[in-house]
Amino acid sequence: MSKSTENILIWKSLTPEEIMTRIGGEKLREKMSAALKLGKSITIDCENRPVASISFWDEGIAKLTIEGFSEAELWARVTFKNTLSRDIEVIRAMLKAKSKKRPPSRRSK
Amino acid sequence: MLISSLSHEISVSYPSWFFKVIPALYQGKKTVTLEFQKGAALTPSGIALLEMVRREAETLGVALRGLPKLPEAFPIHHKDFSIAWCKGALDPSFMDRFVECQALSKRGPLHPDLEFDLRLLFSELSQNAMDHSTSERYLVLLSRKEVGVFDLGVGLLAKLQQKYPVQSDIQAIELSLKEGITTRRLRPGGYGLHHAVKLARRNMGYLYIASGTGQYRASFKDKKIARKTMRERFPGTIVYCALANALPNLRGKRS
Repeated sequence: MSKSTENILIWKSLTPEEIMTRIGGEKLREKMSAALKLGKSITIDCENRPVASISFWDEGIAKLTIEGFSEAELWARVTFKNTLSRDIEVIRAMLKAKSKKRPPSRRSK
Repeated sequence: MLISSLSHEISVSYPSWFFKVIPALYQGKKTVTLEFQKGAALTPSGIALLEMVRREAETLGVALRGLPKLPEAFPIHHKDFSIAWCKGALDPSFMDRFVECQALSKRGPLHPDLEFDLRLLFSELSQNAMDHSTSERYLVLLSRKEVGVFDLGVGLLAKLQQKYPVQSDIQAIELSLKEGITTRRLRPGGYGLHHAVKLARRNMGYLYIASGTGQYRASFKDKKIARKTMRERFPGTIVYCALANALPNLRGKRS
């Protein structure tokens, strides 16, 4: 049960250079992982600006599946606000690709 | 040394002169002369190739003759295209400036889907060049119809052989297009080029990759793939995506 919601404004939390790369994705993932482990829900706000980076979303969100969060759980607990449908499409593709490779469940407590 | 091209166009579509010039620069020649067909159209990708040649010749102290007139300084933001040398970190301001210039052009702002596709390709192809080429710098080309990244680094084969049992440049190119193939040792990756290709396929464009002795061209409209092994070795990598321009421009809607 989520205790509260963590709001992440992508363009305010990260530099434009970070948003294009895995470095930025890693920073996003660290924030998200910490919030998810505390039982929080997350809202990601892209302020209607294109992120358009496979590497960023792969490192930032899809890799959470390797930490033990399932694709279904992520969609249930992470909401995207002011995010282009094209970015959602990239996120879906990255989550699907990672989910296929996910190791047997080793959920963090 | 004289290198001629009979093509009606100087572009990535007719690159054979380029793959003769670059090795010639490394052969210790003092002068290399280029001879293009009279009236050959100089395209944005042709400018990118010529700029690579010019910069490398300058570095090696080789005199170049017959070079068409090129911009003196980069980055350039022309009404139809933008080209920049990039070093180190990705530069989102180059992409942003390209989008701004296009918005002010006669054709008006980019369609949002086209802008997204171009940003995605720019981001992924640049990152690959930055991460994997080991070259000091790489050249990026953007227009409404194309994204190209050109480097004179180690090439795909040398990088992929560090992790995979790949024997030839063509094999390396084809392997690099598969999902999950990466030269990173500590972290997973390998999704950028694979998904960039999916994107080009959806927009019915074509993808061209050259590295080492390998050339690969996939035309998604004709559903054809052509592979060629060159005699001369090109010490670097070109990844060039052409979109089919299916999306309308936003005429009359200037920002």
